[in-house]
Amino acid sequence: MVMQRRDFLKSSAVLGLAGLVPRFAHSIASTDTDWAASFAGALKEDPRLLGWKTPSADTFGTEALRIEGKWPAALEGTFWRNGPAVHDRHGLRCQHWFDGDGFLQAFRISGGQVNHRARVLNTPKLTAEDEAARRLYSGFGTHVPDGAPVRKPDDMNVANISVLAHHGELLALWEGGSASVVDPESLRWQGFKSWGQGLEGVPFTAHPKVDPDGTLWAFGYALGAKHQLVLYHISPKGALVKIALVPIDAFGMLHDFVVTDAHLVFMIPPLVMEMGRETSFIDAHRWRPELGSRVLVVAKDDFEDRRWYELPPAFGFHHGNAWEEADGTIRFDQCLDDDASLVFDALRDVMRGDLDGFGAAFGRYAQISLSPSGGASMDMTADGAEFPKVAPSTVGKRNRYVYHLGVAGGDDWYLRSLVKRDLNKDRLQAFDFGAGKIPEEHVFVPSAGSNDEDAGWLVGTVLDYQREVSGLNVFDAQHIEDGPLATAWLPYPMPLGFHGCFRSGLV
Amino acid sequence: MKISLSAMCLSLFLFSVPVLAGDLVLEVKGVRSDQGDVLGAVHVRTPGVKFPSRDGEGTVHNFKTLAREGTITVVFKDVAPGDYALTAFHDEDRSGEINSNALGIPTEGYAFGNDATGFMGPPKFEDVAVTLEEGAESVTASGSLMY
Repeated sequence: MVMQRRDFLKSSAVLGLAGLVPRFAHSIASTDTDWAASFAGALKEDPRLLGWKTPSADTFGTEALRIEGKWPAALEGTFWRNGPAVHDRHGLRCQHWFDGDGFLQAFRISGGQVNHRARVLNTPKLTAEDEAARRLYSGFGTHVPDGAPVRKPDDMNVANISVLAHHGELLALWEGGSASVVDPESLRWQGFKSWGQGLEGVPFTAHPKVDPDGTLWAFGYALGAKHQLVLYHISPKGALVKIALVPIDAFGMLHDFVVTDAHLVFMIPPLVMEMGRETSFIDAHRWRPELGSRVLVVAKDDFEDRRWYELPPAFGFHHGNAWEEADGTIRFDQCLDDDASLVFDALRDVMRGDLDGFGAAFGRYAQISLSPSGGASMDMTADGAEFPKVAPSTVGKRNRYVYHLGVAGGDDWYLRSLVKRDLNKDRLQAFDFGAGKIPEEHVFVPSAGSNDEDAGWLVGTVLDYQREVSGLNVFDAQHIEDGPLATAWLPYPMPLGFHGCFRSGLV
Repeated sequence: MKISLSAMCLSLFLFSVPVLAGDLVLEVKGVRSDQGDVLGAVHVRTPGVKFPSRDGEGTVHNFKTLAREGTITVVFKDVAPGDYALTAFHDEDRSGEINSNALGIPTEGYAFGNDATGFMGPPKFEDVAVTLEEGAESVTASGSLMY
């Protein structure tokens, strides 16, 4: 069903006047626990929780950060990061890590100097709440008593997961509704992105994939009277090429996907939204292992060309990459766990200051293979892994290296090392940040003058919770075990966030 | 002459209405601009028609007024007792119908009586409707446009 604009109008004309949005009436998490007090008490005892503390202001800016080590002169550009930050506002602390309002950071690197800007995104949701001087909207896992009605997903859009720069436009990404256009100079929220008429407010993933030629592929996890997967094909110039709506029974929460040269690949976990359960978004989902994991493969050049595979039940957030062998076998990876307890428990408990079970809940690196004959297999390693990244030039093609965060030892409470995984030699190199530091996602930035896949840098942030400051690391991707070449230190701590991207210019 | 004949016809018509009839007052609040029109409908419970229909089925009154920022009030006089559900939308582009995105979610402001909301869909007729009791002079159905 490749829809043209006219088909949209036709299809929408027959649909009822419908607010296809869950009404978050009450959440099982909304007990009488005072989350803010619990967190504040725990923070006094456990400095690691600094990563989940609301920043002291809505805007930050520092020129010429103090640089430890030698910043590579050839690395210039902007490193963007996004993540939830406003966990506390108007007397209410969020009850899930995913619910804090988005906070965009820009590290501008030029002439061996690094400047920092950060701003809480002034979404319509946050603006309405600030005007009302109270929280109005429930979220992914947070219940707001006597909140405002949610008529459309963007009413509660917190723009807090990732950030994408595409064809000169900076987009703060959520996944329940629209992407948000942000002014790259002021970091101010400007408006919701619509990819075309009839696409206003249609969900857009936090993990679009960009082919080496700039073509953008994306999806939307759209829940309603019938659950649908929205598929987007966007040109390198940012124009919508085609779109499709794929109805999916027992649609499971989908956060990321992968692309090969010819296909889009969706690993659909058995974490299913159940209609009629009025609760927070996540609490309306149920783990149904009997469904298994289902993998949907869609041809890039024909969204109607679709095939399905079946795998054992598993839940994961992030993929590294996918590619196709000469015989048509599709291979891809994902950080996977046996179930979805991470999203139900660990990512919620941390908000009241409980880190027990936090580290154990994260997934392991897994490789998945889909044969043209219909068979599928999953090979899960024992290596705790999250935030996998690959060189942008390898997206959809066979990659030799994956970079991810990992655990450094058996008793780790969270991801503590930066890992370079060599898929050809099944070999790992790692740098252990040591106790006292929490690394975040590091992205690969290629350097000029070499075609080697790992010729470049890894750039990412770290929280030093003992010194109560955050920093921006740069590693030589060919020698990550040597530790960072340099770290640009902020004079303040930043809350832990999710995803970033690097641009050689501003956007 | 013609005018008074019409007036007489009208008054005859009025007298023919059952004495139990009352006024149905419709209030559409929160109109955000003077742009375009506000369209509304009064629905009654109709077997075989899913509320709210979009093709006019199950509606007994419809109105269209120029949009004016704030609240728009429309009165239908001499309405029989019963349950009435108000739906309205702000047709800012004067397309004559409510614009929706590909998923069917309205992209123009819309209102349901009693500001009723649904779960993953429109609210139920019972939650939207007001009752004009027998012998009552009037009842007000009120809803705020949400954009």
